[in-house]
Amino acid sequence: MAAGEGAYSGAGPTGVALTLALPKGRLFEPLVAHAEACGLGLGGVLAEAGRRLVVEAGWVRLLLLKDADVPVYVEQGVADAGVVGLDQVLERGADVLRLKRLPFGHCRLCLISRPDAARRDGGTPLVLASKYPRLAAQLARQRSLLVEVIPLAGSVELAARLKLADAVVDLVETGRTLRENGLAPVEEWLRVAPYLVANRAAFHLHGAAIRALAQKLGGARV
Amino acid sequence: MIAPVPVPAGVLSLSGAAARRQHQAERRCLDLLQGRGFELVYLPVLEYAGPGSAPAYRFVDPTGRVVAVRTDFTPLAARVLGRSLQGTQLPVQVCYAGEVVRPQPTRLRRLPELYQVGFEVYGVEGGGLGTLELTLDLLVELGVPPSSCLVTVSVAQLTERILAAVLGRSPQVGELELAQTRDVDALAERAGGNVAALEALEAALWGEPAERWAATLGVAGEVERAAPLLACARGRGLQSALDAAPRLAGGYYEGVAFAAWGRATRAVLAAGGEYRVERGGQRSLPAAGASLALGIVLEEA
Repeated sequence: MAAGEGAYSGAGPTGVALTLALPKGRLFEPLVAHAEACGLGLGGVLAEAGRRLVVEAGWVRLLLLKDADVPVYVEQGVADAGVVGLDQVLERGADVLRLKRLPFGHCRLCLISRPDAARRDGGTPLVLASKYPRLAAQLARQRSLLVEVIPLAGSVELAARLKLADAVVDLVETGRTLRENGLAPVEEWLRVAPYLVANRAAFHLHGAAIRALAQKLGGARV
Repeated sequence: MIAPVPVPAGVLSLSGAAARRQHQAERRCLDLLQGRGFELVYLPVLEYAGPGSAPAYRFVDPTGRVVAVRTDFTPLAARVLGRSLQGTQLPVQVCYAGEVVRPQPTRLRRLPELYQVGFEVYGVEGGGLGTLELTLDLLVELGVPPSSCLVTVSVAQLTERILAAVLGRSPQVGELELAQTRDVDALAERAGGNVAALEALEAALWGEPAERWAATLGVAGEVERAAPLLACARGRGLQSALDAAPRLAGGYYEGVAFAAWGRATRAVLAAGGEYRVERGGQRSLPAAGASLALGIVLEEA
């Protein structure tokens, strides 16, 4: 079903009901706080969403999704817009519009290894473990690094610690988890921030409503 | 017993009512076009791939040459028909129908195989407006009401001119991609502190009225070229908007270009625009054309 169809008939300040895809993962709590601070009136609804996956909140229908699924729902037009980290957008290769960088949840995608990790000679691929296999391979290519990427679903630090891989590529916020596992960031590969993203067609069809949302959520450039 | 044929996802296979509906739609389009003086042409499904050819499904034929499967009618028609246009009385109008196959990831509504109906006009300068009018006629013929459609209009090189005004230099490929994804924050990091230019950039990329940004960015003249097409769409009751940073397939448009988007399908129903055809070693012949993605149009209708 495309966004805007079905029983939902709420309408925003511009008279258009929007469907938003929101991440349930690491960005959820700061997003709730930010939405509340921006006066969007979604904080209470989101805080009380519990295990519901679809929440109707007056002018907007909210889809609460796994972080990695947000770009998919937006790209396919099931959601008009959404909030998701740049890491997930690039990993998916999603053709979505990145309308506003949001002022919370910033972190770095880093190459991480053990301090005692041996260097590979030129002809041998560096073995990387990552939750972002596509993005890690792409960023390695940009650095002319020969790599073999092992896709993992979580706890990638373990891969470096137990020598499944030479290094890992993962998000670093404070670096505490790395330190506790005897690892350290070697190189920053990408700065990651959450974005308000939009479906390309929805952006044209409901431009005023989506722009109003972007201006309210975005504030000043960061 | 015959085993089912394994077909890659996104490859067309129609039967029964769906096949009849598509066949009838194709006939209605071609009848309308032929009734307006367009000559039906059949274009090759395969052509030899040369260096620098667009991405396509390719294979080596029995003679050892690399062959590419058709991805787009407009440049193919220009290559096939271009030579015969020399010495021909212009304008020449052709129409066609058939499949194109694009080697991109299989996504909903971005199928690798599309059945298209289209037309091209060779030898008319500024043919974009007539092409849009005819495209909208075809959509109405297929049962797509104006209220289901939005038309976006773009102008070749407009994005480059806007970015050059903001950056103070010619934009790089990555910066054009940032504009196409509307990542104004990332562009702002590269642009320095010209606040007025950045605000105009944001207004342009966010689809705000051109009066708010075109003069500041020095592109009022380019933007004016889109006005007749935008007025045409509005005059027919369609929502319309200028797209300052479109993601156009092919990259061959040299004048105005347009896309018709479906409200229900959230997909491009039809697209077209102005370009030039190489003739006698020069890109000298003005041309315009458009094609409709028939399956998506029928879904929208």
